[in-house]
Amino acid sequence: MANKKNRWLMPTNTDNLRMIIAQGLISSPDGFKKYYSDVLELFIGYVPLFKNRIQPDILNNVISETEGLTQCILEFDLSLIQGLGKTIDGSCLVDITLKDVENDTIDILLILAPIPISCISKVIFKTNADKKSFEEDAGLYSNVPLNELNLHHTKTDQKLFETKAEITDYPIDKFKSMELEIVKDIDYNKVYAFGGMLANLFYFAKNGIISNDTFLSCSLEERIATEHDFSRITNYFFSSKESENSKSLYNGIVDIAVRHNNFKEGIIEFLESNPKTVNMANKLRTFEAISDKPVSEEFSEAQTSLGKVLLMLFHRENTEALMEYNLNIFTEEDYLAFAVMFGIRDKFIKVPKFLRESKDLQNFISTKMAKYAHENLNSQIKFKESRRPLTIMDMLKNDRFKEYLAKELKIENCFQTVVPKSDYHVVKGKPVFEGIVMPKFEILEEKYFKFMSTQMPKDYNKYLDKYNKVK
Amino acid sequence: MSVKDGEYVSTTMLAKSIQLKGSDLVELLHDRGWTKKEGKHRLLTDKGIEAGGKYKSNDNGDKWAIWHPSIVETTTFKTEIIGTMSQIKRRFKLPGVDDLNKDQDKVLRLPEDGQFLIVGGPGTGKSVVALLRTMKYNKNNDYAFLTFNNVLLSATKQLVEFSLNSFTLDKWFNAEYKNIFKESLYKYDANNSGYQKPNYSEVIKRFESREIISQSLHIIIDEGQDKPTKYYEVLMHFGIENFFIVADQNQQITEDNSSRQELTDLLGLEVEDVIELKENYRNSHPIGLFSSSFFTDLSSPPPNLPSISKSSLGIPILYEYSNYQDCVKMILREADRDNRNLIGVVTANDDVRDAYVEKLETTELNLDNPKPIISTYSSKDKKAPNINFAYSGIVVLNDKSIKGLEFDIVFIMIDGFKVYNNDMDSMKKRFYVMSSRAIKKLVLLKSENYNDGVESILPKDDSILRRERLNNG
Repeated sequence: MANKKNRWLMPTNTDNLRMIIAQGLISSPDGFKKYYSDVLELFIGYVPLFKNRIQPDILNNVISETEGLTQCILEFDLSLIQGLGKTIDGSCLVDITLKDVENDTIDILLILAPIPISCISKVIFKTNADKKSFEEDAGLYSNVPLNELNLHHTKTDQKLFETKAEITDYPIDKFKSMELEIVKDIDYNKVYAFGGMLANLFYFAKNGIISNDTFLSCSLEERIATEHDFSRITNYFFSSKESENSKSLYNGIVDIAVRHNNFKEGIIEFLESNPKTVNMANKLRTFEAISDKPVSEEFSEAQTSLGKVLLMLFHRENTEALMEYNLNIFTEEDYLAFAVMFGIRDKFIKVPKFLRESKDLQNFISTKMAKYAHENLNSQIKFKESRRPLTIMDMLKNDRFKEYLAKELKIENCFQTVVPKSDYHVVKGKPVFEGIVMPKFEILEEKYFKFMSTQMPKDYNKYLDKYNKVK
Repeated sequence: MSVKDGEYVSTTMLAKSIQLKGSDLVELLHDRGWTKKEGKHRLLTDKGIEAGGKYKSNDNGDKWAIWHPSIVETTTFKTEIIGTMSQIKRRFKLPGVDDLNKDQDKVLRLPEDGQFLIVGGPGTGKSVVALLRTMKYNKNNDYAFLTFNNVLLSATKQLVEFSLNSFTLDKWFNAEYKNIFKESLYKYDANNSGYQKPNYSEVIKRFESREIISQSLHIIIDEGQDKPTKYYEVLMHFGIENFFIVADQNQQITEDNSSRQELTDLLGLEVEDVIELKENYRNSHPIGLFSSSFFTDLSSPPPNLPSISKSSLGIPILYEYSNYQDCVKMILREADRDNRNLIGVVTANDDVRDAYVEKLETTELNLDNPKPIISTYSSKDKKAPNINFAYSGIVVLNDKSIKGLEFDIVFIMIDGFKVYNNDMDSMKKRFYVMSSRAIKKLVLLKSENYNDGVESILPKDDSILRRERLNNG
């Protein structure tokens, strides 16, 4: 009989779990905007996992900060993580290769944070009532999608929450007194900004080929070679070293979007600190004040792409508000620049719920953010890639899906039908081809963009289901 | 003109006649309060019937609304339905986990049964946690969400996307009272041509003569400070045991009110059991700073302001004007700049309110977007407010009606506000409530002839209130 596989468990409380889902990562406490004391603060910078059982003092600790907290346990799939972890040997922490963990006798494993939520195989609740309550409460928030999580409660797993068992060799105070090598700080603002940008690029990939290609490139963490403004913004994440004025201006603005709590304040201060950009600051001040000029006129007068981006960032308060806005003077590149800057400013946590519920998106971006964070740390941790969500443009490569979408959105005029070159003769005014000749449906890019840029499709999962049926 | 039934058409056919999808018109009629959903049927409301809706039925007893095709030509239909089509729909936005602080989390973790008091200043999210709590337990169908006034009730009902069992405090209790004593709590006073305030001590005596029957009902009360403690005592005699009250004693606008301490004692709570929400999430720092200059409550600090603004962006502004038509144009242009906004125009009395409504409705300007809906309400109207908070537009209200509401932009029309008996505290409280309604921008407008005492309570510091002359030309 095969040996039963070990289970790797991290206890926490449901308030922290909600935040983990919302931010998209199991991070160290400094990656949480709101954090309730749990095991993540025992070994700062590491995610501690316990093998098969959790000692009572640790379980009690995760609900000790305030009244009314509820315990839950995250079970991890270690096969999705590679590299080096740490474990306790006596009173020391020693390295251990993750692939050797299964055959070792260790009880505790520390993995360098952050870990993507795609590595959570199960969320275990003590009671069915706790599970139900967590599911229902998720509906009270705009950023707690549960569609890619396996919520779980069984009588057997209830034993994992027993707090009567004896304390092991590792009482909680011993953990707290252990010395860890100092882990380099992770720039979580930048990591979450990267996630927000990717999510927005996924959404705006609907607009056309340039948009789709940009999402694909950023998904592969590739620099974009074009000189469009949006590429200057996306390349901020891929070790840009340019120092030309325009580029440093972009970097400065993106940096404020990444870090400043009050974006408008930060931008005005930044632009006013440089005589060359004071004019731009004044325009934004006027835009923000009571004005009798229509907004469309202000956008028309903006002479640069950056000017339009800044106006939009002042005009619309979040990504969802951006998605609802369109003007026929905007190009596909304009929308891309808006999308990336809004994603960066608002971070992954503010991605609209309908978008986060797109199949595979949450896990995909979570893995990308974790990967990005570890690459910046030069850590040896690697995660198995999550499946990339298909974009609408990906699906549109299939002619039957083209036909479906054209009818569904009533946009037949955005496509043309091309019949391959072949011999034919005319019968009663109709061309008749010899053999089987399949017509091809092609997108009329300009018309398609003009239509799609004004649409806010929220039916991604429905389209994907249809695609999976017709492909 | 009487019209034969045969000439009437279904909602779908009516929609076709104005190039609308049937489902869109169905939704608009519902949003504008012309129809209501009961089970699988959409029934006409009084408003829908008044507008001209009728029923058609089949042999199975099913009935549905029908309309005369000419209804699309009526002013009511054009204003309320066609006009609404250009407006942007607004909804109560669920918060993100990160948007709530630990105090608010604590409120959401409170058990379903018990007595709870949540206090906090404007913009601290009291109403948000009250609504979230209602959503959380609403499925148990044992809830009543109660508000002080009709306007707040109407706004709350329209913004949430679930069926909210909600009433005004008076209306709900009067219905319960009538149920028991077969008479209204409110007696008509012919001498004063109005209803008398109930004598709660007498009501308590009446209840004392009966056995108290414990009720499982949970009541959630928004703006609970505006009812006297006797009101709550009556509820307790009525058998209510589960109270969730949100309140702010600095926003008391009635003479019959309860202080934080009174509510704490009444609910039998220890001081430390009261949950205080301290962070102001609604206002920007400049608006919050302006509002806090009207804070009068010595027993508790004002809510914490958002992080300080160095750039002076968004400082409230006081315009002095010579022609109030300029103010009207300014409001209409501002509404046009972002047609998603809900704009509040706050007035001191019905005369000023009526004048602005009339001017806003009749002034024509070249605008980017269709002219916004102008709506208003006065408590003297004695009927449900005809304001749709689920759509953007301009709402003109007297300051007594705006408590608990929030607007993207607030214009306060100072003319008409008058300080009586040198009672600056009362005026400050009114300005505290009015100014703290604004999310994005706050503008005050004052005629050059105004001289009724408000100027002396306005901040003199230019970094808190800028002053400019308005001349639109």
